[in-house]
Amino acid sequence: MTAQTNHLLTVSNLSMRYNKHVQALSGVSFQIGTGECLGVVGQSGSGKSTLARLLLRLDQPDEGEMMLLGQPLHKLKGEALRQWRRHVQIVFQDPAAALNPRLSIYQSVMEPLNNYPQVTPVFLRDIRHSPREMAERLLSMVGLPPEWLNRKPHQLSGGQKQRVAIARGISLQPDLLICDEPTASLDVSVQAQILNLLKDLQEQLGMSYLFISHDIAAVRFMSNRILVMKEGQLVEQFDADQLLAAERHPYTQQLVQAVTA
Amino acid sequence: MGFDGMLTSGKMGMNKRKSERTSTGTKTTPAERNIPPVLQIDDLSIHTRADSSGKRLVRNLNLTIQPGEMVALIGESGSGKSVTASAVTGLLPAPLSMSGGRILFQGRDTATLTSPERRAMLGKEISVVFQDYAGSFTPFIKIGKQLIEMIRRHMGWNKTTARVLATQALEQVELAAERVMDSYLFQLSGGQQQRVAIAAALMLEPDLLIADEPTTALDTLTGETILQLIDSLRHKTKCAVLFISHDLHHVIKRADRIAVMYGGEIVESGPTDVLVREARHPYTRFLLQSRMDLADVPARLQSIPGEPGAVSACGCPFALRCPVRIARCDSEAVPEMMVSDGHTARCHLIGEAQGDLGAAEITRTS
Ligand SMILES: Nc1ncnc2c1ncn2[C@@H]1O[C@H](COP(=O)(O)OP(=O)(O)OP(=O)(O)O)[C@@H](O)[C@H]1O
Ligand code: SF4
Ligand SMILES: [Mg+2]
Repeated sequence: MTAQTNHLLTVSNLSMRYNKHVQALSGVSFQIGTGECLGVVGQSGSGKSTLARLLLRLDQPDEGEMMLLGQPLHKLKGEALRQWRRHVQIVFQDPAAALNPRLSIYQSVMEPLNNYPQVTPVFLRDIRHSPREMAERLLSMVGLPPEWLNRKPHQLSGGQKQRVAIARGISLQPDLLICDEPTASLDVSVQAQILNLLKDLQEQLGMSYLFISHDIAAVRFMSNRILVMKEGQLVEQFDADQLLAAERHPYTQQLVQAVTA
Repeated sequence: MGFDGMLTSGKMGMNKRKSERTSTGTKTTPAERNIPPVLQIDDLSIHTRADSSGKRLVRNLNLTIQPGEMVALIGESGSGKSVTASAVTGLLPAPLSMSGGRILFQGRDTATLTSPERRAMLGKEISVVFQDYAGSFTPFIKIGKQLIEMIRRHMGWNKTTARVLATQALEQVELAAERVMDSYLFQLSGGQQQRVAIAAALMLEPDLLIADEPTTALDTLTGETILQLIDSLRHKTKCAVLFISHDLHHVIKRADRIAVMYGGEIVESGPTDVLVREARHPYTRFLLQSRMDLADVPARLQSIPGEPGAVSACGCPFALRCPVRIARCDSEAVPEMMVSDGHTARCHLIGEAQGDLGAAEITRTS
């Protein structure tokens, strides 16, 4: 990413503590360009998911700013916040937990679009009047047969559920899709399929991604830039193709060595 | 299954028994020295019903593990890895049952064991570490108390001696022993909990450790430490390890031999380096190809064609997904065939050039 990139998201000096003892995030700053994938790698407890929660405004930062498309995300309230929420969507680690077991796939996929009736994603423009057609198109975009709309989550495999969760995640054409360990609970070969899908969708739709994982290989595959976190702090950030460069921080090198034979 | 049932008992002079057995100082293999394998599985089949009328989950499986050896069982979810492990412990959940073959532990057919003998074996010589480590402990009793109780029950020691052993075991897995002994499970992180589980499993020196996805719930660095630990302890105590994992990277790094399962069969097995260099089964080749290389990142990842878990009812279990399948793959069962010494595979095309599996369309970014 070059200096001229217009930044979708600028995070400055973000800090957050859950209680006296747990400083979950301290002074984290970074930017995400339009259409860029920023990978976040770090061990459990390093603050990756806290970051996601703050960007979704599920939690409030103690300090710092989050500017999304020039708007102060950290200050928004009420209806203004609700309107901005649709710009940031998330795909979670556990697809089973992300889908309501009682709802059909159709209901799950359509929920966001029903919540924001005035939103019309480019890829659904021609069929915005027809919920059924929109749901079918969303399913086919994530590689699932449209006939499966009437199924319930328990009739799908883990990878298929994750595809449904991704269909939901992209349904409002968010500017930023946060993927929090999206493949951690899947088999290796299914992981590859889901990563390929996420990458294709990003290219097709021009979304930006914040791709969170402790799997450094997956982060390397997905990302343009990589941010390494440890104990709530930013260790370093660099272009993804510089992951193996000699000047990498010793901690980053440790992460690399753990997955290199 | 309770924590206690899976634990082992041993002797305080921890490494003595094991080192006597193996310190021959020569390079002969245990087999050459006529030491029986710790575990020998011959022709094992498992069905969902006792009378083999149900679904077959495991078919004609052969596997041996020597003292101090780590053998990895890999394969996708549902391929039969855990069911095989349960058969070894004799704890197949009903209604699953062994419909053929035999399992020898230290040369003894485990089917001939009475229930008390089996419990003694589990209490004494085989221990298991599960992915879900938390499930092995009682949440409301302090860890130290649980470990001490366990040692006392299996070995009849007094509290003081038992405490010494428990402390040593926790230190061996690099935990702050005093603090951990005084903690409840929920007060520890996932990595710490898994270390406690491993300390407990190894503290009484089992002959066989079954580690079923011991690192899947952990992050990379913690998982790496846990495996290092198992690895160094098995070298030290000559404990045989059955390492179940779907992480090829871990397996290649640690195991002496790898057995690859698909649809309830071991489709290929061999020494790790041989398998990595000369895999003959298309499924193994796909698995190897799917490894990610940090230095050379493709634009798209290779994935295995077809539906994960799709198993052909007759012929080769991989036939529904295999790009190089031939007519008889759909109908003729594939016998286990020897590729080279210690390397076997089940594929009709074993001796033939299989060619490219369809990876050609993969383009490289750089
Ligand atoms: N109690 C049971 N009753 C009936 N079928 C079972 C039972 N337990 C396991 N199975 C079936 O046996 C087959 C093998 O399961 P197993 O748990 O051994 O797979 P695995 O290789 O360990 O998979 P994973 O990687 O997901 O742990 C699967 O088809 C599974 O659905
Ligand atoms: S036996 Fe046939 S279907 Fe099975 S792996 Fe070999 S070629 Fe493929
Ligand atoms: Mg299993």
